[in-house]
Amino acid sequence: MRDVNFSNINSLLSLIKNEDKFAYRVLYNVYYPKLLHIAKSYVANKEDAEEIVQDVFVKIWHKKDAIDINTNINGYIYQITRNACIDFLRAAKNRLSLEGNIEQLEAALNFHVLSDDSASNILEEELKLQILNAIDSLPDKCKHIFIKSRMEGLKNVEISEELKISKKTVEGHISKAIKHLRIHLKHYFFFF
Amino acid sequence: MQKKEIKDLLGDKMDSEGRKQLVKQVLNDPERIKELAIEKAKQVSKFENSMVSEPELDSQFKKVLRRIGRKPRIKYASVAAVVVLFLSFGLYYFNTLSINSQLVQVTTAIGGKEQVVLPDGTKVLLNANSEIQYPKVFKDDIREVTLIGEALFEVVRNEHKPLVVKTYNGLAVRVLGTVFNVKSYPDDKEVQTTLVSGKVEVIKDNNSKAPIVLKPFQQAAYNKKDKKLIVDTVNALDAISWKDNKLIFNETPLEQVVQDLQRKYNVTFKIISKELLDYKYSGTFDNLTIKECMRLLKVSSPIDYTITNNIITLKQE
Repeated sequence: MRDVNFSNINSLLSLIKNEDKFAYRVLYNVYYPKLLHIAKSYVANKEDAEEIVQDVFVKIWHKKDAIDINTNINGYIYQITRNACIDFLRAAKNRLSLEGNIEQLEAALNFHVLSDDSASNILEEELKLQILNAIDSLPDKCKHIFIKSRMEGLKNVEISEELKISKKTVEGHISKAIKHLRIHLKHYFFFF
Repeated sequence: MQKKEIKDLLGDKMDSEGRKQLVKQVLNDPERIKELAIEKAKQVSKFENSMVSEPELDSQFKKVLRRIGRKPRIKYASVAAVVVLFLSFGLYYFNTLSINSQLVQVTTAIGGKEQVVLPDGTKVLLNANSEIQYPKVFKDDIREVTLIGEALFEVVRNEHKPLVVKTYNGLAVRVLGTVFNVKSYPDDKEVQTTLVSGKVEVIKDNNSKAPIVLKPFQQAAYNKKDKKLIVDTVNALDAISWKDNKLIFNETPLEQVVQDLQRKYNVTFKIISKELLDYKYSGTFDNLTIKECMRLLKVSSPIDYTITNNIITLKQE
């Protein structure tokens, strides 16, 4: 049985490239809370952080055709989030004011702090683990079938042939997987 | 750099003047910036309190969708489908076309059946020769679907967003979350709504002022000709037996029996004896072929039949 790894998130990406909003929502559900946490930690203001992360997802959708299918998707998502934060902080630190106020100074500090590559690598790696965890806690069989069906685009009949189980069982596992994802991620799937 | 300094900078407990001085100092010292960067990355990496509540996640996603939707690209195929539908069935209830009202349409052939899952997770089992239409994304305040034919609904509960099933003849069914069956074929005399569990409202002529509320195991039969709605207690499980490939008739007029058989099997019936039109048939066809159905009909009623190609002729014995 194949493990869940980022080649599967990449399969998710290939669905998104086909305008699959369900796949997009899965990606969003997995990433949004983590990215918001990162953005909030550096830009301080929650509303600004929310807008930055929204930007990230809008960008992913609009750029989906240009994203290489074999790219390190976690790295890609992390980097656009990080760059968006850095851009925001650069603007904030350079804003004119009579004397450096505390917000401006903090923005300058966070700008330098987030620009540090080795520190940033720590964050990127941990983000990857967190995302893997969220997906990995699916029960094995469910996960396997779910990925085959939703992410590899196989038909239920093909899965049942490959795994030598009935079509009904496949359907059962898929709905179980979706239910589990719903509960685990505590989020509501808008598209399905 | 002292541990205390890092702790002070990562936390927010310092008074603003002291903090300002410290930030200024660190900004002038690349070594301390690097140290702080690593410590901060470690702290953020714990992802403490990074949960986002379901409604918040949802509302943020809607914002993302809205922003994506600013360049609406409506697929011509779906517009064409809408136009064709409009012409063929005279549907008149779709509002402005926007990205959110892109319609999905699922159709079944004679003898076919199809499971459809709506955008909210509601499950619909579509019976033979039927068609359901729904938007890719439901509106904010209502879940609206259009049905021609028969379908069994298992509705995901959402009290703020009722699900309304519209039929082509002005009758609508409004629900919050429940299991029910709607049978609304153009060539049937009645539109039947049968409730298995939960609560539904049947609305006549789009008049939401006087809805009829059904209790479980009740069926609302709307006669299209005299426009009367009759509520009766029925065996609701019989009404949805088609999902298990069964046809159950209970004092059902032969005309209706014949309609149901025509939809399930690709055959056409001719009733020669006029007295048979009023005949009421009771019986169960459990996973039978059309030939087996006819044999059973013959032994359980005063009806005789002949089959030529796909045409079945019925006459009184």
